[in-house]
Amino acid sequence: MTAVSYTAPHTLDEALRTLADLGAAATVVAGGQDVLPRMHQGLLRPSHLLDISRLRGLTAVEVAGDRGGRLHVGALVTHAALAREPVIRAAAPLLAEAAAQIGGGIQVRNRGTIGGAAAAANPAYDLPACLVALDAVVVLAGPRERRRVSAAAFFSGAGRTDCRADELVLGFEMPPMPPRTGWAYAKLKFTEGGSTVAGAACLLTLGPDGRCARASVVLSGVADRPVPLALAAERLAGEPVTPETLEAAAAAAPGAVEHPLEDVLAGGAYRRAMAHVMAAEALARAAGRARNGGGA
Amino acid sequence: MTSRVHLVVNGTPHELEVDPSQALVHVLRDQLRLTGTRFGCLTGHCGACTVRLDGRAVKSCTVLAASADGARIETIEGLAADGTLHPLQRAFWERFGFQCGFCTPGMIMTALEILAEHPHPDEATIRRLLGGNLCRCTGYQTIVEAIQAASEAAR
Amino acid sequence: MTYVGQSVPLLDGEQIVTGEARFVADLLLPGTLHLAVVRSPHAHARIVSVDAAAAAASPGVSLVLTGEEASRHVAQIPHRVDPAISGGRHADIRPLAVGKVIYAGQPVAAVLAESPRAAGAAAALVRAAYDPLPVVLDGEEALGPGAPRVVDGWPDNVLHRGRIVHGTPAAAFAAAPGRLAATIRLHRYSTQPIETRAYLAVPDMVDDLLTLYATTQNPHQLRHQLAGALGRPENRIRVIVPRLGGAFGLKMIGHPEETLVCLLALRTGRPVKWVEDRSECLIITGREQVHRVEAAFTAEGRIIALRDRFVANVGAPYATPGWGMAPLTAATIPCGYAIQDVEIEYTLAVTNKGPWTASRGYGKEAANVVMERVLDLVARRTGLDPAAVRARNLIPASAMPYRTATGLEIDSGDYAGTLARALDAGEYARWRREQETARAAGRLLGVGVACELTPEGGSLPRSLVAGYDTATVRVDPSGQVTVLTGVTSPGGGNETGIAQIVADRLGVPPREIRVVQGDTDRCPYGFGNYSGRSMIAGGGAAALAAEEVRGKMLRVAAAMLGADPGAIELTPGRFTVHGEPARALGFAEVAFAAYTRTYELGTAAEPPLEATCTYRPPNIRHTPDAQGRVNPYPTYSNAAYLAVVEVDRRTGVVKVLHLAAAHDCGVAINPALVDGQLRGAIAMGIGAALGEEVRYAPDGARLTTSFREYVMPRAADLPPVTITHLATPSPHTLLGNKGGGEAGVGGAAAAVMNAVADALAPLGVEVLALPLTPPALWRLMMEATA
Repeated sequence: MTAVSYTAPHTLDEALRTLADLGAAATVVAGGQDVLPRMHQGLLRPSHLLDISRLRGLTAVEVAGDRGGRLHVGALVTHAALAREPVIRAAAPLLAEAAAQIGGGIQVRNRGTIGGAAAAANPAYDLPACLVALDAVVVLAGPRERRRVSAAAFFSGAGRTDCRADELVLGFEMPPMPPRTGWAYAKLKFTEGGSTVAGAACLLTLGPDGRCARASVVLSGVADRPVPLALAAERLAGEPVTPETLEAAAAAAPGAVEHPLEDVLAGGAYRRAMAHVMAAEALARAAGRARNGGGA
Repeated sequence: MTSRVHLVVNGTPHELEVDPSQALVHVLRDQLRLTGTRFGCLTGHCGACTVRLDGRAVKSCTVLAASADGARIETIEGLAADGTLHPLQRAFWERFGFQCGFCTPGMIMTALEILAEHPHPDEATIRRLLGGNLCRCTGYQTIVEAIQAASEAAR
Repeated sequence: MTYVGQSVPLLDGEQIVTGEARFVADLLLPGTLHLAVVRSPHAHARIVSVDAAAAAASPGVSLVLTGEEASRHVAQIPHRVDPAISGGRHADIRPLAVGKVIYAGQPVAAVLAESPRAAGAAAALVRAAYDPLPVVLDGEEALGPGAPRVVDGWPDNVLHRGRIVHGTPAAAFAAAPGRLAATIRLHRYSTQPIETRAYLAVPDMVDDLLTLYATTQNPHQLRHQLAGALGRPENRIRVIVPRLGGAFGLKMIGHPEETLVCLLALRTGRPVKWVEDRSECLIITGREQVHRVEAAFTAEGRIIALRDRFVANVGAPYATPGWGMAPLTAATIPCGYAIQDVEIEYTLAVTNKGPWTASRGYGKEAANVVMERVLDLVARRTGLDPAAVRARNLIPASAMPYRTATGLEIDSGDYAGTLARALDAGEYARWRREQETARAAGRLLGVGVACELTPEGGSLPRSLVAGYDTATVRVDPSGQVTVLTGVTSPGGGNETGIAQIVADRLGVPPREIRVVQGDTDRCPYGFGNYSGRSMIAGGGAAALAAEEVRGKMLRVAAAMLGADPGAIELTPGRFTVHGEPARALGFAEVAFAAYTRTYELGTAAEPPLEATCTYRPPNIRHTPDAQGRVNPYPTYSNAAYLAVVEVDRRTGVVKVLHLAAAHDCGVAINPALVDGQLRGAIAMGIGAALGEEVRYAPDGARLTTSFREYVMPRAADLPPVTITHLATPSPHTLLGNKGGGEAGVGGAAAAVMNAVADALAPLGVEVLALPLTPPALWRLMMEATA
């Protein structure tokens, strides 16, 4: 049995130095909700655990400048905090809604972090699709520089991200939600404790004319990474928001899922079809909220 | 390599040497012999290992013991430390909120947080917030009733 | 006041809610070595070599054992019930595979180390080389001519087969106005208690005794089995069950790890412990059957004949009694329906899937699901109401006792009354109206009815699965009462029920009675828990022993008071001469006198105040009748269910809106505990119907290895369950009880299945296979609308 080494630095510099020394040999752990179960199952056998839960400054939730500035969410913000924080509920209610639905119970939401959920890039996780829908930027810190990557580019496969072995996820930045924007996260699971089989994160902004100014729909749980529905956005842009136009947009979902996930819970055909159902549900709810003025 | 951790468990401080890859549940059980915190899956699904960490319910199989350094931990053993059963403990017993009792400590530790957040929860809220805990004996109904009874007792 | 019939809270409840209760995994002994089991990733392969060198050199490792080595030290694991006894095949079961592996997860090597983590890490270093063989996973395919042979040396893959014919089914089918045929598929699922299995073997340093702390339902029979496997005298083994965290059949005996920990403790002279992980727990499964059933019926919905040919896919042979479920499925059909022209043919096929272990319901649940589906199919064919079709076919109360076509001797029951109660409690008429409204709005609302027959207290011929049990009741000189019983509790609270029974007879509150169970050195020889037997046989034995002790105390009190024993009354805590309240003695006083005044009081005092009695429930018949049929059960509980579901047309997700049950298990010793058993079983039945399933890849590799894949219901997934009881006492059992604990699994699964079928009926869909997962229902709906 090889002994596992462990560090829990308080400063980012220390953490980055450890990463620079160990690179891929280090397993980063924050809340532990992804890492520990995999360790217990023997799917992950770390030789060094880098515990970043003590890093200062990564639990911040703030809106830059005055109201209406960019929202910054630190990597160590828990799901429970996302669901509860007034700042999140006002500036990115989509995140709050999705976080409240994260499975595993209040215990998992108390401990799991947004940074962990993003870094793990598990296709069944709910937050990655929301980050993509929100046009979030992932802030990464490396040994020499900080860089910003769009969430859309960050997720590159099941368990794979653009985060390099010597980098850490520091947090996320999101543009302010325009007025008259509705949001929704629709999620299909088979039991209260079950994994996401299909989900859809949606933001929908109405123009002054009542037509759709902008829509963003991103699927979760159906492919190895979040699937943005570009065609749906295109179909809705400039259109009046009616059941028919929403349905036409949602109908873009199955075609967008090129390589659907297949596992014990569900096959690919089902997931493709559910992508459509979840997209439709998310669009409908987001449109309803947009009509009601949007905002939280 | 071991890590030195300081834990305050049920009010008692402990200095422990732990294997840094060890989960809190194993340290509580094997080193502190607090075996009321049980495990049924080690994948974060069953909730039998639920304890409170700095006042919040967590699944102790998904928390590194090293990571809990400096934390205040409450386990089922601490709930009636003064010899008087907590209203939740009493309600679970009187309302048949368990059969085999294996999952019960995790249920009660979760219920503590449910009642802290929702002093008088309705049935649907309880059922939803028990989403992280599995019971195989009761079908949950008497567990829900016990939590409701405990909340009534506090009224 | 009597305690029987009261909902007395569990005696040991305080230990449970404070976390002080100790389960096997909670027992920590210094010097313990920990076992990790190396398991085959292949479902079928020759073992080319097992290289343990790296594992043996791993830190903290004291021993690595391969199958070849183990077989030098242990004989075959004796079967709990050998299929060969009833004409099936005997399989040679070893704790570690020798020569080849026949299921994924089969133990191949054992690693012993100073900590579970060291053992686990070393286990990963054992290098086993395999030569994969073709696999067979489907039960019916396994019976085909070219199927890969699971067990070397067998001419085919048949573990057991049987045929029951009664009446003249061929003639009845030929003459019937209506006939239908259907294939009903029941899937592979598991009871998965939250406590996994755990064993701790401790060699005694002084006495030549090996003590095994075990999560087992049958401590005495485990001792017998270990004696056979280890070649050790049965009286040099002690098995203790401290407390079980749920069992549901999964913790019956015959698992290889039971023998392994004992062998390793004997070899090392140190305590050896093994705690199963969840993935390991999901290796052992049960229940998968395919029924090809035919029914002949009249236009009025009366079923006149039934034919069922079914194949049970029992997976790899194993020493637990799991396989025995399938013959009892056959014996239970046609359940509580008066159908005498019956032909049943069953085949137990071995495959390269995980072995069966006993599962709550023990095959009876399958019989109920199949029959209830058939009843609904007949209702649909005839255009009649499903409840009315049932009422027409149920065995009438006036026909009790009733010998079924398969030879079961049903003791009593009001089946039509039970059904009526369930329909009433579940508001059947209202839901039917609600359904009309829902359907008009395009919603898929379904109402399902199911009846259930649950034979209980079972005893299998020529096996240590007995129908009787034994208890000792002892009153100490200080008047304290101890009950030692041969039945064990899987966590259902039977110790509290037994205390209630004894309390009534000795006038002592249940909480003051100590009930000892699950220890082969302290308790009388008994059979543990299965088949809802603990309160029938164990409760009966405790009642008899308590009566005997009570008689002794009455005689002592009479002698002390100078009265006739017939004139002495025992009220709580006091012996009084009838009609003379002043002439009284305290309970403890009499107890002390019984021990200390035996020469003074002469024959009135027969020390000690202790009696050991065996209760052997009647009605069991092991001598075959002219048609070769036996009756393994003393008594029969029954129930009826109403389930209301709504199926989401877009997703296939089923929401159970309502479930009502009417249950008749005769006299309920502790109603809250009976309700609890039923609710738990109903939850298991709903989970089974809707999603719990153990699955395999085409090569037999395991796909279900955690609770992520094995999806069990949580609180929000279940409806509130309404329960009502009827109590038709058993005319046979001592206490009039009929057993609770198994009812609910098959009944709830059937009611939910029928409700889903009813919900989808407008789409022209027929529901014939479990589980009803959202993808499965979605596919059915897609095919129907395509």
